Amino acid sequence: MADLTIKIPALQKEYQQPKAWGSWKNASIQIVKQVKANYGKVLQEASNLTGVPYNILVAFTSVESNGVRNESLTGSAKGIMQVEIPTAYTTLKDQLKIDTLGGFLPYYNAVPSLFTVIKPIPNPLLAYASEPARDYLKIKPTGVGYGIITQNITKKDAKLASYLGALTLAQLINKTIKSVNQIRLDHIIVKYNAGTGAFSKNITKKGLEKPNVDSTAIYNSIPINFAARKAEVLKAYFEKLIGINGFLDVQKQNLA
Amino acid sequence: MNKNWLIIGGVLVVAVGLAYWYMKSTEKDTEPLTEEDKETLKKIEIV
Repeated sequence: MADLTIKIPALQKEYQQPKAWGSWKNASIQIVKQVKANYGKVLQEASNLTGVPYNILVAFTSVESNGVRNESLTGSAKGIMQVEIPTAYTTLKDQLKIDTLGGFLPYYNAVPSLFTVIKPIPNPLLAYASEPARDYLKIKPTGVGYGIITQNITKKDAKLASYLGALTLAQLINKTIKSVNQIRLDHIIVKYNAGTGAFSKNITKKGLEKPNVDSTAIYNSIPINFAARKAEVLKAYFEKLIGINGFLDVQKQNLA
Repeated sequence: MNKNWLIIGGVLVVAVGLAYWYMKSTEKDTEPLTEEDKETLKKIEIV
């Protein structure tokens, strides 16, 4: 049986906030409050859909968006959980099943017996998709499924992005529980922020993906093989999310 | 003769390398969640 408890703060270090922010504790409380006020409903829905606890989604969203009500934010990552939408769509297509006869319709019309038609799974995600859900085709007997909408993803899908973020998080958490029989937010932070390639290079290959290696040891290993700026961002991610008075800690203290 | 073996060995090394690279590149951290997985996630507790 996996250990599903997260001990907060998992990192005995407080975030070194910019001077203009005043007290980090107050800033942390304000950001969490803002995220809950602006996105509480969306995140609660995403929590129900994916199983990821609401306070964890609020904490990740707080790091990714700083509570700013700006759904596009900057760069190619979109939405309050800063997801690369086309990548997430492609990665998560097995979960979404939102496509579609699409380009395979002519083949289906010609030889319908070659295909199995699968109805879309009812899913609240679909309310936010750019295109309506349609049937999903699989070629017999290979079981290979085809087609997923990766184009037409625009800023209006920012809400969808938060679901994709939650779903990505759910799968990363699930994977880490299965590999180390524990819920390890430190592993998730590295994967979500720096990518699974960076995780493999800096954690797995260094022999750090073990139940007895704690969050502080992972945190201290971050500069290895990382560009200085990336390491700084990733360290701040640890401090804000699982550090003293971080976004999970202030929720646990019932301050936000 | 020796040269032939070198070529065969080289090809084998490249093939094994490619297979390993393919295996690594298709390894996913995002597998579809089952209902059971979701129930497990709901049991996460912050203490």
